[in-house]
Amino acid sequence: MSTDVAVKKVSVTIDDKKVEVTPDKTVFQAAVEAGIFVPHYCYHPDLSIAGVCRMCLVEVDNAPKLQISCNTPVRDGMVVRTSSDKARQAQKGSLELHLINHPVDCPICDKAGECKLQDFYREFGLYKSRVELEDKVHKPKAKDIGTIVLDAERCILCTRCTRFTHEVTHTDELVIVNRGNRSELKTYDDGPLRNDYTGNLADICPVGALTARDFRFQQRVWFLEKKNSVCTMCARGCNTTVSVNPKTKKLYRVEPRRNPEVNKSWICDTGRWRYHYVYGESRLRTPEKISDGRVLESTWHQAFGEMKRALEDPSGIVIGLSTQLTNEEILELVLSFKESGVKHFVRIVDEQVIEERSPWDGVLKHRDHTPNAEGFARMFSMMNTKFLDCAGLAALVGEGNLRHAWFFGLEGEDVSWASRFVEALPEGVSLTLHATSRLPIWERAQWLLPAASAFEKSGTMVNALGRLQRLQAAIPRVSLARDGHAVAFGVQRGADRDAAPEARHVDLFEKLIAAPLLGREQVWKKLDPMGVALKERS
Amino acid sequence: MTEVSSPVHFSEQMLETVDRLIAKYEKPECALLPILHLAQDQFGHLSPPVLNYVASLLKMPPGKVFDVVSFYTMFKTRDMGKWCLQICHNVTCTMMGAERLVHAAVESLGVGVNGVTEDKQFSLVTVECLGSCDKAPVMQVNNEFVERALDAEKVKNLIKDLREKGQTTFEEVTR
Repeated sequence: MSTDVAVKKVSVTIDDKKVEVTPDKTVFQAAVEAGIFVPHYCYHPDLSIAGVCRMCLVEVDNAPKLQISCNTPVRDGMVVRTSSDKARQAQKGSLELHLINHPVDCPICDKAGECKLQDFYREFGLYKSRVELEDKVHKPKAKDIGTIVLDAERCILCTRCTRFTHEVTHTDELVIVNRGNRSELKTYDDGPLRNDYTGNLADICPVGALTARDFRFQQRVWFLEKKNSVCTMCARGCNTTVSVNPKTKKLYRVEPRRNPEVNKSWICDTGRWRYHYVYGESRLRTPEKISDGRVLESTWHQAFGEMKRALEDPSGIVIGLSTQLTNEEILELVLSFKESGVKHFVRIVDEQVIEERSPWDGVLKHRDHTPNAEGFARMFSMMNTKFLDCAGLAALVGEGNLRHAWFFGLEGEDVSWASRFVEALPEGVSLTLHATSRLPIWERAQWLLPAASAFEKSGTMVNALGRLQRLQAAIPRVSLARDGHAVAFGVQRGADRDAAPEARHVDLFEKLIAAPLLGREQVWKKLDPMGVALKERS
Repeated sequence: MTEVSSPVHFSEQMLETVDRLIAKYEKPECALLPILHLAQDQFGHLSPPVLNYVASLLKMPPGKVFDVVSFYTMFKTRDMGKWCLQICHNVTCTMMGAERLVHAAVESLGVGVNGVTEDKQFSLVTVECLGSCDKAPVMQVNNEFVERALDAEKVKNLIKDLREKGQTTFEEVTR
């Protein structure tokens, strides 16, 4: 409250609606606060203001001409009309100018359905074209610039992308060359884009000029449903939406979801495109037993049976938990194995980066490829349980009692950072790996158990910034993949029945996690969409 | 910042001029235009290695330099031959018959607009306003104005003189 008092708010009337905003706001931002939509192409909340598209022209009382709302500061007592005849006329005129040289072949354009030219034409245009088709200026089409395909002809020169490469990635590959009606967007040296955040260009492009190679012509966007989730490719935990075709239940793309506290409007290319391992060749689909170098397809029933028998002597078992598991899975697995008498737990994490001082890449990425190291630490301190690091595991091995090592929740095709934990185990210890994919270290294992991927399970995680966020299953589990809850239930019973209830994670969160972490009761639903910042860990 | 193997570089003396130019402004990148002119005089035209070199001198992203160069018609990004004929095609000059000058030049040279003759002696481009509308139509040959009562005949003669007699005649023509 204290800071709010210092800044005196100004009152602005937009379309007869009164709003109070801080004086540093623009008319456009005030309109957003008033819930009034002003058409725009170049304005983006996480980029600088360019004021080039002229779509957001509005009428301001006592101003001689129309003003672009994105770059007009608010004044006290200002009266703004966003849809007066004059404003509408100007918006229509701007749109017509944008469309002069734009191809009119929406049916073959991959942006159709989420294109702002289409949307605004329907809402603000609806004029009859005065340009003959053959008079349109043509520019290079479908140019390969790496991960993105550039169609210069469709570009309306809003400069969102050039501002992105200048202000966010500081790589400046994209420029607008020439001038006037020959202005053209290109990479300055005609080479590929050279940054780790290229996918965002396809998101911020309001038209079909920049499209992602990965998603291009894969699906019409109106067939897809979006689900809110969180990226699990590093410890940043960028907020995402996952697009799934509800008919085929297949995952088609991952996009950033704006959260100013975590990732603004961006995600990195790894987070966006590495999801392919979910359907990859190396994905584990059924439990496999390996003996004498031979892989035998097996069943969960048999695997659980063997594990239950091994649990009869819990002193010889060590449980490894990947920091890719959700808080709820960690809690469930630890509580369940502790109850059976297991004493040793190992944290499987990229140990080389976990203690680093400046692990960030300057934009978003954290060097720790696992999403939940922070949550892992909090769960263990909550349960008053100690965990071992790799050296601790080696020491435990030295004691000579170890017979079984069960490692849970390894996700993705590249978990080379986990190899040292496997290498710490001597020949005589039988290894069970619960992983999404057949890892390079699989030959060392006696059992391979298919794990549910981050897109196939729900739960919470805590990112490296100490923010508790919610992961949501977007697709059904591939084949026989199981999450940590189902595995904990199975091992307890020694048989593949009575699987964990569907909403097990919700129960665990509300009953066991919310109060200790947040200091209050919190229902699962309230975590969406932004997550909650936690207090520093003591 | 530039490729290590870049054969493009200014002499010590030129580098001193560059430093002097940079010192004149608040930020190094403000000296971009004069330095581009220097580079064009030195290397003939502004090839990508030259632009990368200029960018490294000013510690600015190469993309920005490419952007600026493409905006101005007076910067040449490819070899435009010994004589570059630049005919203004803005409003006044067009009204005063610039198109006829272009036709005459095309006819004499045997190349179109933006073309370079095979012997690399001539090139022809149309440019934006040269700032001499009172004497329209005007043209510029390399850095010199040709603007006195210009017509198709004079353009043809000028090309003929340049081809046969070289630079000395050219100076006579322009004075």
